[in-house]
Amino acid sequence: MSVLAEIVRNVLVIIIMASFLELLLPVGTIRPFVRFAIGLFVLIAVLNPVLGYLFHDSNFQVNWWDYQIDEDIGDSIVAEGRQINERMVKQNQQMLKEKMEGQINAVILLVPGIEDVHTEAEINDGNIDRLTFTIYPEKIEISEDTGETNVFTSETEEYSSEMKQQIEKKIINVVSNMYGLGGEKIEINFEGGR
Amino acid sequence: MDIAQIVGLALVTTIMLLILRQDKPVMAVILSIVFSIIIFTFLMGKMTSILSVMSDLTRRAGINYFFLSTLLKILGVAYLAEFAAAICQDAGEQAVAKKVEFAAKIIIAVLALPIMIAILESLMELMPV
Repeated sequence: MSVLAEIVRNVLVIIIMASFLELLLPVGTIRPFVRFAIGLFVLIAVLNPVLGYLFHDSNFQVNWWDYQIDEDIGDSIVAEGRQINERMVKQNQQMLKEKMEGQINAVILLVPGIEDVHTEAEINDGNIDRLTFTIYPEKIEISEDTGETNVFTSETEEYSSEMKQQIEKKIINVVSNMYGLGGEKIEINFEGGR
Repeated sequence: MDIAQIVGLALVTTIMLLILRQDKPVMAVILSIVFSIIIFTFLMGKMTSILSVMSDLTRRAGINYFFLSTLLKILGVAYLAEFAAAICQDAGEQAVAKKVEFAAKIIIAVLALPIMIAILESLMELMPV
C-alpha cells in the first residue's frame, strides 16, 4: 500500500509540475524533446518504487535518479558541521592570540625601563584589531649621596611623564614596525604610574 | 501594470523595426535583440519567484531535486534556443536558425540520456538474456 501511495504521490507531483512548466515552453520544434525528458522522469517515478518493492536486494541504477535525502538528517549534519567549524575556528583564534601575545610581550620587554608587561590582543579573522599593554616599571633606586641609579633594588620609583611618553613612543614604534598596527589601535597603561 | 509596459514597449519596438528594416536591416536586428534582452530582464524577478515556489514544492513533496533541476535546465535550453532561432529567422537567416534548434535538441538529448540509460540498464537487469 505504501508503495502505491509513493507512486501516486510522486507521479502526481511530477505531472503537475511538468504540465505547469510545459506551459512556459515555447511553441516550436523543441517541444517534443522536452516532453520526452519529462516522460522519462514519470517513468522513473513509477519504476523505482515498484522495483524497490519487488527486488529488495538488487541495486538498480534507477535508484540513483530517485534518491531522496532525509531533510532532518541533512539539517542535523549541516548544523553539526557548523558547530565543529566554529569550535575549530575558536580554538585556532585562541592559540593565535596566545602566541601573538607572548611574541609581543617578548619584544616589548626589550624596551629599556620595563620590568614586566602584560599584553592583551583583540584578534579578528587572524588580524590584530587592538593591543592593550599594561606596563610594570623597572624597580629603580636613586642613591641620595651620588645620584646614581641602581636597578633591581627594593625601592620602586614611578615613571615620570616624560619617561612614560618615551616608552609609549618606543612601544608604538616597535609594534607598528613589526605588525603594521596604527597608534590609535594601541593602548598603553602604566601600572603604578603617576 | 507590467503587461501595459511590455505592450507599450513592444508596439514602439515594432514600429521602429518596421521603419528600420527598410533602410537599416542590421540596426533592426540589433533592436530586436535588445528588445528580447529587455523583456527577459524584466521578467527575471517573476521567473525567480516561480522557480522558488517550484523548488519549495519539490522539497515538501520529498521528490529528488535532481528532477526539477534537470527539467529547468531543459526548459532554459529550449527557451534560449527558441529566442535565438526567432532572432535569426527575423534576420532572414533560416539556416542558422535551424542549426540553433538542432544544437538545442542535441543538448536536451544529452541531458536526458543518463536517465534513459539508467532505465534501460535496470530493465536489462530485470530481464537477463
